[in-house]
Amino acid sequence: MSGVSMSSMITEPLDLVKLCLDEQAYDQHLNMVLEDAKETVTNFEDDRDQVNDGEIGEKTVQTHSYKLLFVRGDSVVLVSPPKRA
Amino acid sequence: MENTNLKTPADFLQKILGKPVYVRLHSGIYYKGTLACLDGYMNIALENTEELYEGKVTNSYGDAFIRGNNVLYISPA
Repeated sequence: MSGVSMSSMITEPLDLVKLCLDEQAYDQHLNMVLEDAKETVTNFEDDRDQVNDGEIGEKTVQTHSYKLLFVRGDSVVLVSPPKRA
Repeated sequence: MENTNLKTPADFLQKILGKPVYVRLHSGIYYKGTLACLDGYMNIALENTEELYEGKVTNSYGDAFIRGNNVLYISPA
């Protein structure tokens, strides 16, 4: 669905959350319960003392999967519908 | 002054609805997109959004909801 066609259905920002989370439980704080959730944690080793300016350390990626996950709303930054192929 | 018809910050936000904007978060990330709507918490819905960090595009979203507490400023692009 393109952004243009979606704009007619959205009158306030939380309408977009409703579209994203129509199958899941959520509230006005953006507390939400996600099913089959995947967590991705990306870390960059912080060795700025040894590395030249602007360079970053080694990247490590960890993923975890959850059948059911409660996310507290105050840590939410962005909500977007999953990309379609 | 250029915008003498602007009275309040809310008037400014109404004026830039539907226009391309930069949204900067406290984390230093920018979102560039079309301002679809916003509410009293400064929650924001953006369309055709690009995420920028340190000048580089790091992600893109067709539609994006940004939780208002993260917002530092909104500026017409």
